Amino acid sequence: MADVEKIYHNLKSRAVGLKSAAELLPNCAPEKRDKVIALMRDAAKEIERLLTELEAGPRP
Amino acid sequence: MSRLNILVVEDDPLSREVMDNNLAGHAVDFASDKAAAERKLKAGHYDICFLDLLLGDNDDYSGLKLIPLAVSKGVYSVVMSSCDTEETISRAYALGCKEFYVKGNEQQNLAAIIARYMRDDGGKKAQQIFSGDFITNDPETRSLVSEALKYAATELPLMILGPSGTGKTTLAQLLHGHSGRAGDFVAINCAAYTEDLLESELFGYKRGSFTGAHENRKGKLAQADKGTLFLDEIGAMSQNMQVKLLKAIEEKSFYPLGADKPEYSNFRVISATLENVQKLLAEGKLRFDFFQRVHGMTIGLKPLAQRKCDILPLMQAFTKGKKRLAFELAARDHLLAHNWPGNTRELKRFVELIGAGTQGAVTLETVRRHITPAAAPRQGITEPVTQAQYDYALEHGLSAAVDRFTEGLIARNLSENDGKKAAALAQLKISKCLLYAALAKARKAEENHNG
Repeated sequence: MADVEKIYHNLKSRAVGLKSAAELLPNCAPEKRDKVIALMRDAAKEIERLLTELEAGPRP
Repeated sequence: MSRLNILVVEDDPLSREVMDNNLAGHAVDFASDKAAAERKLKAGHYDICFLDLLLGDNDDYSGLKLIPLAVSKGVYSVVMSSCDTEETISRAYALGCKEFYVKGNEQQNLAAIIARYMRDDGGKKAQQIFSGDFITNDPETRSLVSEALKYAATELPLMILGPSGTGKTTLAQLLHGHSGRAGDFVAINCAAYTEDLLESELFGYKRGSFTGAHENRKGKLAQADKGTLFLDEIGAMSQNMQVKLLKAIEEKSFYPLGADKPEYSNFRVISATLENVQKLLAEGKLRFDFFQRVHGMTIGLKPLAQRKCDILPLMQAFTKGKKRLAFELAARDHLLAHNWPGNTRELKRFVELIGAGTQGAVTLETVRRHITPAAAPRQGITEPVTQAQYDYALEHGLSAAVDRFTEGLIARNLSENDGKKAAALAQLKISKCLLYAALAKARKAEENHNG
């Protein structure tokens, strides 16, 4: 898989992970909620990093 | 639902957390890379394995390489990936994966996968169903119920038709049990309420919305959130009510009485009626747009008089754990000759009566005393063909329908006579030629069905 394809794949994967986590959050047990939110923050940071990498890379 | 052993192969911690939550109630194990997954697959006994395809930043489809190992260990392998190119999907299936999903709709997809796995568990489930949850030896009813179970884990609405006491509610409960839906089975008999009462029962109400509404009350729609709403006798529902319910089914939102904000509920509808649906539609008692929302798949249950092979097994089931009954031969023949207009419900009441009033050995006289032949409808004159048969003839033509009816009669007779062909020839008064032709057709149909 080419680098740019990998970035797109990872972007899609993280964004979908965020969506699924956002769906389960309202019904999450209180003790799990903070853990899920922390993981969602990590995923959001990773999306930010991937977008920066995409901006810096060659344009199609 | 029994507890399954599940392995989730996933490198992303957030996705693992999502899977963990959605698989609550099962024994779930995780592996975040290929080596750990291989170790666990070799050592463990898993029922299902969910595989992500790319495990790590510079990974080369490790997930795909794990499929053959999982398959060789007899594990039901399911790919859940964001990588869904046609080539990847083809490779995954070629390697033996059973299902391929794109990530993003885990809540529904996981429930459906597990329900499907449980249903297809080596055909053992079907046997358990027909000797436990929905007792029937009738080949046509078994085939209908099996067909309906294929749709249990979907979002499609289901409609069950059949006379009173044929097991519509039991079937609806069975379908809910196989739906994988986490919520409750909530039933309401629409004929038991006036329009106003039905509205408050279905939608609920807020405190003060009418005289006597002293507190907020959840309606059936809200109670059935993430579960199944079973609407019995929908033919009794007013047109006005049908419009309101249609909107709620369509939008999965509704206003409880006296509420100024909508409430949301993710319910699945199973409906039932003992009336002729086509007649209800023709007479305008059932709105076509409402009918379209509730009849995704239609299942027609036959009256007990048309599946007499079920009478004795049902009686055995009704006495399970209680006093067992022994019927003398003449008494048994009398039971089988009776039409059972009240169907299973009448049979159950009869068994309870006999069980309470006799020593256990039941004579013809006792049976006669508790069965009222006058109550039996004149079957064959009032309804010479069932709705399902009529629909089949319209779809496939009269000749195909006659063939199917003939094969059904022969199959049933053989089933009742433990496969004795001589009995079928004598009782049905048919030629050997017809019997063997029907058997050959049934065999061919089964071969085609099994691929």
